Amino acid sequence: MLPSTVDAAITTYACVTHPQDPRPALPPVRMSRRFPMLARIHADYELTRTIQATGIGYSRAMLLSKAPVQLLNLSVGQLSRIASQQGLSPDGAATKIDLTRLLVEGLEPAALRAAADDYLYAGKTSVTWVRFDEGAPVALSALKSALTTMCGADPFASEMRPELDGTPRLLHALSWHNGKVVLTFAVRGQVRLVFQGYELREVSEDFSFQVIVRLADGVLEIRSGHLYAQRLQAFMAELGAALGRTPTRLPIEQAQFDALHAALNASLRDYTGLDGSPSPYQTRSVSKKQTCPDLAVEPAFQQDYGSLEPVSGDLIFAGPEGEEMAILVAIRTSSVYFRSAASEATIDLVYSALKEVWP
Amino acid sequence: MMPGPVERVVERLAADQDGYPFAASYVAKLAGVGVDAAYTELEQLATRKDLERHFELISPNTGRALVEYRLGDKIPVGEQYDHPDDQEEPFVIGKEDISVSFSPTAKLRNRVQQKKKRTTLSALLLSALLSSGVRRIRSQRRHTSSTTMGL
Repeated sequence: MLPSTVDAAITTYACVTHPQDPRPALPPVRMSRRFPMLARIHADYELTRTIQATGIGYSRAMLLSKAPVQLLNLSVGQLSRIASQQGLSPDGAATKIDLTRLLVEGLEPAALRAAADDYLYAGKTSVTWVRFDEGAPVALSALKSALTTMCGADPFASEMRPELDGTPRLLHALSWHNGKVVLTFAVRGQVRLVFQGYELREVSEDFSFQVIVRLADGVLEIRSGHLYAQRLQAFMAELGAALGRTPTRLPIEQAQFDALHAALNASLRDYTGLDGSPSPYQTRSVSKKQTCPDLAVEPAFQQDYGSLEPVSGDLIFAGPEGEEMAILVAIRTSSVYFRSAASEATIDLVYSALKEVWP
Repeated sequence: MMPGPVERVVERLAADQDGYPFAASYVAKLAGVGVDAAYTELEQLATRKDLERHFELISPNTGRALVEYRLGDKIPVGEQYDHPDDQEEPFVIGKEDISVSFSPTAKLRNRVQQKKKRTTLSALLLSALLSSGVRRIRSQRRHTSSTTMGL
């Protein structure tokens, strides 16, 4: 039910809404002519609006072929670097969508996948880890069989289009490399009101994200924010039951934080902690001076902030290729947010450090 | 019965602090006991109405206090929290997101004040007694010394 003022505004602007599909029709036809890729997106979008109207269901994030969507996960710098490495000449002022278009139009899908492979499921992302039992390996065949039973179809063989709601739904599974399986989920996000073309419309922010299964360790790596990691609990429990295993969320506490700091040879840049003393402060945050190499080893930091209950800390370290990486280690959510667009190798590096100290 | 280390810390906080709540972990550190032990004792003090409990929803993402619940309020564990102004990322409320802190009640404050007054009075009396005793001893010494010198 819309609030009365919004309802009145809609009546004023005589907006025609689509009851089965809250998404707006796309107006930028002129832009679509200029950019062929956007024209394709436009066509796909309109097609699935029709599909939705017939009640088949849709996932907006999967309307595009997967590569362009996942390329948008990368930073402008990384897209530009990939384009240069592939002999394409990116414009210095190119935006993210310009660079994505350049790569999609300039490279064959296989070449594009090979060039961007290390970033496709990584980038700027939050990561939470769940382990089955004590980390005994999961066989690919067992996983395939469990997922097929759960979904009623083999997600490795076909892309599914379940009706989306607030619970993440599995769309697709892919056996990747290095013993990893990529599970792609979609979830219906918040419904927002947007004002576009003199019309108020309700738009649902559908969202797609990946879970990487590390078969050898029996670990699932949820590459999404805290909320969707929480909402995956039911799926994890169901998968655990189908595999005859128990899923446990792996903690990131002070011990894991310290181990990560040491293993990555990292520098603590920012820190936030809860103040339990009878003071007016709920949290206290501190960041280091440029000339301070590492807050964590400063006696003054230990004295002033050592008694706080940790909330999060930002670590800076050198990535596998020597590039500066920044991660936010969120202790209360037991997750790591890669502030810099991370490669698969960088996520592996962080995972390996944590794996050593998980109980 | 002598108060234990946790109760002594609480009494000290009740005498000094401005009324802001404190966490069990803070008391545990000052008292040199484990957090669980401190929490159990704080709960007992709350049952005795020496302390007031505060239940707050803490953002797991930022640590900010988002909502305060009063005793008897339903705490919506398992429900999604959406900030009214989108200032916080939404999350599903878990028990671990609820913080319990304590503040001294007026009853405890009055008792601590009375105790402080009594202690001050006792200290003053003791000091007065001591100084009169010292004066007496000094005058006796003076008397003894003058008698000796007179001999």
